[in-house]
Amino acid sequence: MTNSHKSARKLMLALAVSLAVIIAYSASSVAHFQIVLPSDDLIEEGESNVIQLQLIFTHPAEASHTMDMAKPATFGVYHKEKAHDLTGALQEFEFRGARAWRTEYTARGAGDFVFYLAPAPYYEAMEDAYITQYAKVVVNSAGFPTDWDAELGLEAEIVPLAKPYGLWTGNVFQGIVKYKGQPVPFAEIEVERLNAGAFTDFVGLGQSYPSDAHITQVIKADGNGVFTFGIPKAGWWGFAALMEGDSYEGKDQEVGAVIWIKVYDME
Amino acid sequence: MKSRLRVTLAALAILVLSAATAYAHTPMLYVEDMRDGTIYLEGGFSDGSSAAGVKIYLVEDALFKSDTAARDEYLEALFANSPKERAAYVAKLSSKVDVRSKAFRYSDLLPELFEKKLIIFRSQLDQYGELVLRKPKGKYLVVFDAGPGHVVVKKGPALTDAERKQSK
Repeated sequence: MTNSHKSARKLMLALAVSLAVIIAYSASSVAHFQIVLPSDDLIEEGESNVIQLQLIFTHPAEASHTMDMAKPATFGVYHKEKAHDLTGALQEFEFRGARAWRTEYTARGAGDFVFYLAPAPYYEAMEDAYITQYAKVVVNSAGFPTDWDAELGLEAEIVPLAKPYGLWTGNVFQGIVKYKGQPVPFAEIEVERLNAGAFTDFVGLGQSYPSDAHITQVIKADGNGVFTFGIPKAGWWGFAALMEGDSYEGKDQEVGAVIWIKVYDME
Repeated sequence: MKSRLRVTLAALAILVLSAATAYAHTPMLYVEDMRDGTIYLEGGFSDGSSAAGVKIYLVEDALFKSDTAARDEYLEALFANSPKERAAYVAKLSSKVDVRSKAFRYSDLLPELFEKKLIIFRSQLDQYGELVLRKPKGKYLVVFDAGPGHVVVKKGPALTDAERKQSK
């Protein structure tokens, strides 16, 4: 083999390795999910009304890379038509080597407690762009339905059309994707199930996937911004509607509207 | 005659169906022990409709045997320094007892029963469907009464010795 052939082979190998790295990082930057995870989603009579909340930016299905979260812009709870700011109560902690946030909250009274998060924009170096995912989760106390379908006015928001708790495996979950208060026709939504067993810090069964296509499912909203998903298994499910947002600090920004629901098997 | 019967039956059917539709929701009662001698109550319905104004009773959790002591002690403590509130409460009971008389005793009030048990105190949920009540001594029930088929009964959290001392 001539020297020029050897050089060409080395160049091809280097290019192939670079391409593989780029593809791997690109795949992992898809399926970034902002998690807002409560220790209890349904507070029943006799149960403690003190819940722990974890805010983590990670890959929930693959249980892979977790991203550093800067202190959120806003974290709060909406209950009986009133918003309460909990940003000051957040405490930093380390989750799988990355910065995450947590707090404890006492849910007084009956009804829905809609926890919402406006994170600090996350700079994704591989895409040279920012990612900002506005996330919600609803905790219910005593079964009283009060605020689960409230529109909080987040920059990007999923407004549920089905009560986002008390769900059975096999139920259909629907929501409207909104950006700056307007429905987003044909919005693309990534769906992942929290692979709790693969995260040693969470509680739940692990999940294996027959193919990459099964890790992050993708659905689209209809012309009215309404999406529909048939839930196949119990556990925590996240829905992230991803949209192009306004630029941030001179860079592109992907804005996401996220909602988490917990599903139960009917025995 | 036949047409009148048909009209009557149709009206009856509409009435029954309307009632069924109006009351398809499930009543709900939330009771929280405030651990200071009081309980926080919240009422509602499964469809989110308001429970403002729904009647609430505290009921002695024992079959009534002509002893109104649980009620009398509760009212005595509740209205000890509130003669106007006492008069208003007794008036709401439609009692003809003269509450302003020096000889007035709570035991003069006729006992009211809920499912053969003594009603200790009557009240109603406020405009937000909420209410805070003092705990009575002994075992008691909290009753949410929104009408036939819309009643919820829950055991009330006990008044502890510490709470009793705190309230003195």
